[in-house]
Amino acid sequence: MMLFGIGIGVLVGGGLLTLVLKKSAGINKLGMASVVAGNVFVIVAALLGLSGRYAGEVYQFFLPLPVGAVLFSLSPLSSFFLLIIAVVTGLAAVYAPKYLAHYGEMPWRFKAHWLLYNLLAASMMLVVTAQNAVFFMLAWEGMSLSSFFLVLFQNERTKVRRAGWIYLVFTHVGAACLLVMFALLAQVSGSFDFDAMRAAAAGFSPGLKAAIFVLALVGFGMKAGFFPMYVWLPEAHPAAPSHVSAVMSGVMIKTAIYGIVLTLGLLGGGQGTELWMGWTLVVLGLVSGIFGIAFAAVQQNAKRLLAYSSVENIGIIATGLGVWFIGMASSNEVLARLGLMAALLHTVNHALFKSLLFMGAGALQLATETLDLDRMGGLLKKMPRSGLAIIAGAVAISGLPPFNGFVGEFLLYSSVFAQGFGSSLVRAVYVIAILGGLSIIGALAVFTFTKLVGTSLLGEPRTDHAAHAHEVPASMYVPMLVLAGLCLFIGLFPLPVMSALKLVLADSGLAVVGQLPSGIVSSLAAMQWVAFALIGLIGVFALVRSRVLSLHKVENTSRHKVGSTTWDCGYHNPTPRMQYTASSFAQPLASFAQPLYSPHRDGSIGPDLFPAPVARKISFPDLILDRAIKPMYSWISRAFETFSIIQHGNTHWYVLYIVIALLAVLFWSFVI
Amino acid sequence: MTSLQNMLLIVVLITDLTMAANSRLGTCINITAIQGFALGFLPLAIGLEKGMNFELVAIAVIGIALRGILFPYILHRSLLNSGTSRELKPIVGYFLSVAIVLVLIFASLWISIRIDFIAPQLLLLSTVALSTIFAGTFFIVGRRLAIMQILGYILLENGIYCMGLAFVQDIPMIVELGVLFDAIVAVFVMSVATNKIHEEFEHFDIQKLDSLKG
Amino acid sequence: MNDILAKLLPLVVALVFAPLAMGIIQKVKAFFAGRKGFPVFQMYRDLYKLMHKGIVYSRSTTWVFRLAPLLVLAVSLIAVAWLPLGGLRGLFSFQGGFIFVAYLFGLARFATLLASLDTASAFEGMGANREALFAILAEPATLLAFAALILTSGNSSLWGAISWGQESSFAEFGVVPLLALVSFFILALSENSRIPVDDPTTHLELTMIHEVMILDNSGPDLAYIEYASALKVWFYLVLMANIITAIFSISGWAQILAMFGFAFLLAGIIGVVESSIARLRMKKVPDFIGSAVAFALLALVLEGIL
Repeated sequence: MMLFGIGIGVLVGGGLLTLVLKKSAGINKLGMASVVAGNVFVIVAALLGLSGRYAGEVYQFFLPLPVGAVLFSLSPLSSFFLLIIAVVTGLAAVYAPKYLAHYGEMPWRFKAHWLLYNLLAASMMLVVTAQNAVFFMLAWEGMSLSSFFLVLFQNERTKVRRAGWIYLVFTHVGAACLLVMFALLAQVSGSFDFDAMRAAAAGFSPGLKAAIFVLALVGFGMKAGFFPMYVWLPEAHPAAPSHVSAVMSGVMIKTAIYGIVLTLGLLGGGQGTELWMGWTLVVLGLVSGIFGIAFAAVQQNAKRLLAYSSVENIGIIATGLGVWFIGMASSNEVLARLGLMAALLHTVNHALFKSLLFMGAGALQLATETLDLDRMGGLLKKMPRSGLAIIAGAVAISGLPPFNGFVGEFLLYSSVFAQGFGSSLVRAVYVIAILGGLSIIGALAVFTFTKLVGTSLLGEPRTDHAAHAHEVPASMYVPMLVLAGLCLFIGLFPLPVMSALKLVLADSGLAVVGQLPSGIVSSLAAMQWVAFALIGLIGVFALVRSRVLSLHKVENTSRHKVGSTTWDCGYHNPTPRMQYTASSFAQPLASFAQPLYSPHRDGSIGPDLFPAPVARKISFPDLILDRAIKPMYSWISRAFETFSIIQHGNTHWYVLYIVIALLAVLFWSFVI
Repeated sequence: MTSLQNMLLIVVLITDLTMAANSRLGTCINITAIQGFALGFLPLAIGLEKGMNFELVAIAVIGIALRGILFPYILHRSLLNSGTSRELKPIVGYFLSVAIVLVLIFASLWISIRIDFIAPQLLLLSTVALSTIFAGTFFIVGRRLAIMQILGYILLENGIYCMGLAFVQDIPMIVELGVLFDAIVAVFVMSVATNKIHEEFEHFDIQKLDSLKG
Repeated sequence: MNDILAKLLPLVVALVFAPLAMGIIQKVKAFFAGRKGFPVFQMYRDLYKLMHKGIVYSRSTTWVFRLAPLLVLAVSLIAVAWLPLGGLRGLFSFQGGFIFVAYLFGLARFATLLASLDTASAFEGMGANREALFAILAEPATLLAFAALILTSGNSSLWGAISWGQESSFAEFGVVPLLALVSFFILALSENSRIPVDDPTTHLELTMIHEVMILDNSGPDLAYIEYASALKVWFYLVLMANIITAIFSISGWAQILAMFGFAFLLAGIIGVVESSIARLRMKKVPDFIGSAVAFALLALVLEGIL
């Protein structure tokens, strides 16, 4: 527990200490060092907490809050999230200095950045350990505000300021819902402490439970980015510096997942949940998943693409949570365990590969000075190490074996074999939802990430910048390679990770007990061996190929050739501009699902007999922001404009209004 | 329901789906013919289970003769006269049509579960009946050409026949014959009308009929 | 020891007979075209020939391009090793194995797509794009069809589902496996780039998908890919033959014979289909693959009712 305190202290202290330094390089180094040092303490504390060392203990900070005390605990569940936060923020901090350096010499901005970054890390850690609603909300607000200011790093750009505002609005609408939720809970249980709420949960009425669930869903959903509420993600992530996007998308939105898990505990576990809550989460999750990845598939901006893909992954996690809720409500233990395990495992997985990919996007941005996929190409040859990490991340996020993304999805898939659905028809609906939804998500993810990798890393460079790109410094690609290694490790050795997760499931707040079904364990073990066999077979085939080639090299050297041009059906002078671009890759999908995307086309291909230079641009307006919220607001503002006829600017009239209003009120009060 | 009856009903369901996916009018007519055969054999399959009698055989023979042979024949002839072979611009696209028919099947399943006097073993029958009725209505709404409207009407009639089977296991022969003769008259009248429309206007896109209004 | 040998048998059979099935499809197509056609064993010779050629690598390509053929072949090998062959169990079998194998095919697809984008060729980019696009419908169809098949039997692995047909009357549920079979047949055509989705004999024209993606592969790499696609065709043939033998409850030695019979018969049917219908327009292909989804969905719903 001391360790955790020291860790938080180092983070906050280090952040403040950067304020005294003068040189950018020094500020960046100190900031990084303080995050790494603080996180080492937190990681050790989290590992101890995960093993159950601090289970059931609640600690009180000596300074009280206006309402209640500062209570926190390192239960296995909290430690689990703590570990993810510490690892990802630590690696992102290692990545940060060299990334920030390309902005130039801006000491004050860097000071502010590191202070806010450290505060963001510390507040996230406090969110997942808080045991008191007031303290929780304070940490939550600290997290929202520090990340808001981090998004505004390049605040001289209009786009960044706009993104920041959208983020601020959404996060505060969510926070308002959470305030109401905790106020309701506190009113019924008579205390702001989570333990007291849990104890009082048995007496909650169904209506109250429903209200709390909906408030939690909206409140945490705004932060997590569930389907209609994801709007801020594709705006804020591209605007923020890459390592901040990595932290925000990788771990910050996961605190909302923690929040939903926490809410179920506050509702009293199995007795508190109802079937409709589970189905709501499953449907919401699958819809988020499909919409998120469908919109990711057509994006041309690498970070916007990744932001939409976060919506998809949050959707998969929400589906897992929904399966858990269904299992809890119908006392189906297998379903409950599979659902929660899938959700938690996918939380880890997404934290790893999404932060990796955001860092990768940052590396590509440094190398080519753009995030536009259509202006990249051929970068794998220039940046072999970061390219390797990005490819690993892309395979992992597409949910393909032998990487970690597959394991989480497999757990979710396996829930279709669970017994104990009410009727075979309900089961058929469940199977169709899970299998159909997840497989469409999977195939769209393959589409999206082959596009991302194929147009940025592979092929030929499309611009001069891309042609003269260089590998980023080691402090940037090493964190990415570490994350890629972790992705592969979880994919190849799922069983040790599962047993660590079992410790989390043993957390008293979750009310999930027992072992994983033996079918799953043997499946995972078998898949592990097949994955090794796959790697072995690849090795064998590679050996055979090189042996065969070297054999006939003796006979005839001229036939084996490296470095000819691509065979383009006889066309011998292909240019890089003839390649498929990200936009052309997206076009058939966009025309196939036209109503979903309603692509906006600027410029036209002229009908002239003699071709002249033309410019054409396709953009995909966001379904919610551009096609629902904005029209709604412009409608509202137009509706209110009708009132402008009473605004004359003539004082006499205004006095008349006041008199009329007074008379009306008087008249009304007499009549009533 | 035996597996033979199930098999026939599934054929009906699949014909509904393939109708939605097909743009060729001739193929669509053949699909309804297949559906007519499947429905025609259904009384025989019931007879195999419960004991054959004259009424069932008669219904089967008349059903196959009309639904499987006569209607498609009439329609093929009026199609030949028209010179059109496919519906190129339906109101609802083909991919969406299949999706809609699938949703209709789900909806009919849900309704069948809700109707509590349908015995569980008749669930499939009533699902097929309802979804065929819905699919028929959908084709009347979602297609432009008059032939497709007639086919939609035939589907509707087939669905009603199935529904009758679901509610009352063996329909009195006279009722069934009544329904069938209604259908004959309707198909005749409609195909004559189609031919007339074609003669007058050189097409039979019913969307353009609104120019007739006075 | 005997046990392991028996489990390896489906793999060995696949390795030996897969090119033959391709030969049969070719022969049937040649017959319908009024040609004599090349011998049914031609593919073995082709593979042998390719293994003795050199490889030409484009300047644009990276290690991704060199890795892909190895990965594709390894995945196909694992897939046929998993698939039960009649009464013979596959090399491994576990709950949800079909999901794993479907995702392995997904991995192979990922590698092929990247390799074709790696060549910087517009043609191969186009093929990659289409392959990725049609997979969006093919993936759910595959998983739903498998699920219908497996859940009907009350089992959790394909082996259980297929052998279950021996004991209990599969005919009772005959409709569901039949619909799954139709779904798999459509998938066999689309996933193996056969007519009406794609034409395996050409990479020109406007309907190129799979063949165009491997334009730049040569020598042993091309041999690996060709062999892998033969194995994939074999995978679908045996899968469908398995379902048919289970529907008819054939068991014992007759089952093994029936397996071969049906597998080669299905190869012939694919040949007939390829000779008798025209390639679909690109815009129509989603409708075709979508019908596989529709059949699989129908199978699952009926599985819920029956």
